[in-house]
Amino acid sequence: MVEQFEIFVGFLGFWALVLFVVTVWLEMTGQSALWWALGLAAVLAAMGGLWALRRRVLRRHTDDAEQ
Amino acid sequence: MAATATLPRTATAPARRKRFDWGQVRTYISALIILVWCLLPAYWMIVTAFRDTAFTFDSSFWPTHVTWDNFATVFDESLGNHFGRNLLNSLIVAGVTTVVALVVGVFAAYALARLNFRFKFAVMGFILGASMFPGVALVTPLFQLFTNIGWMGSYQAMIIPDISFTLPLTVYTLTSFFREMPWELEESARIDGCTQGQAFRKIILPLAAPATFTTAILAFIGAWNEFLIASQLSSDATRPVTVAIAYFAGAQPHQEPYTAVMAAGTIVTVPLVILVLVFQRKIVAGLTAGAVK
Repeated sequence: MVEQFEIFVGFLGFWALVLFVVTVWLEMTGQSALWWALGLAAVLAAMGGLWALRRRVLRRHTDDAEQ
Repeated sequence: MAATATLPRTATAPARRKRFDWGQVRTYISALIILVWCLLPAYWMIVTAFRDTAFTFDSSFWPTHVTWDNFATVFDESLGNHFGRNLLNSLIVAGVTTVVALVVGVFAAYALARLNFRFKFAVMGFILGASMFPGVALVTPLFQLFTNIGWMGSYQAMIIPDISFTLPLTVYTLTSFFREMPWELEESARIDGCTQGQAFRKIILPLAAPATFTTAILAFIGAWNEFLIASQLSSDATRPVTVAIAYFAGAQPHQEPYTAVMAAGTIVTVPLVILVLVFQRKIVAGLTAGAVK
């Protein structure tokens, strides 16, 4: 379960990197980067959510094991 | 009592007639439909490849006006076709791509499957994301980059992007195989005095041969069929067959040489068909290896 979360985080991480590079490049060349930056924010939010979910699953798993 | 009552009945019962298995018939019909669906374009390619140019658009299903002239046209350098050279180029690009992707992929897959480090699965997800990157988005930046560094039209201009396309497949296939391999083999080798590197080289790698072989063939087919990048980054001297076919010149000017193109397509397909037929067993063994423990 945790493995699948991590794979998905990595998958989103790649696209976050792509969006980051494109956003920086557009900013540096003086072009509009708003939608790319919003896309990057959405992907980062999704990554954060997934990571929080992963931690919750891990904690529940640890609690179950202790009980 | 019940037993004695049933015994004579079973002894005298007429032999059961074998029931007609509709399920099996359905399976065969489905297999036949898939087979025809997949092979029909290849059949049409071969039939047209052997058809006289004057009858290119003959819609007869069976071979008619059979000739070998189209295959001669394919290799006719006076028409501007350099198909032998193009075949060699494809072999170089696909061969080098396969070797590099395998060497890097085997080590990466072993590390991902056997070593414990943080964010191991995130790395796999990252590779999965990279494999889904649309190739067409890379053409323009690569064109600019390779022009700037003077690599346009060189072999490495095609090999490096091809490696990036085949590497995710290599890593994924091999990782799943390495993960299912019993740890005990490696531990026994370590106990017998092998270093981790020796255990990998002498024990793990030979056992992974079927999976490695399958991955090599899949990577080779992928690199051999690559068109998009090669169409933009190759030159006359380094043009692979997939692109060369698109530039084909026939015997008549201003006439698309469909029959020669089909002949070239047939020639290009032959090495792949031979490769798959010869190593069919190894491919199946490699693909199913690690499926069950």
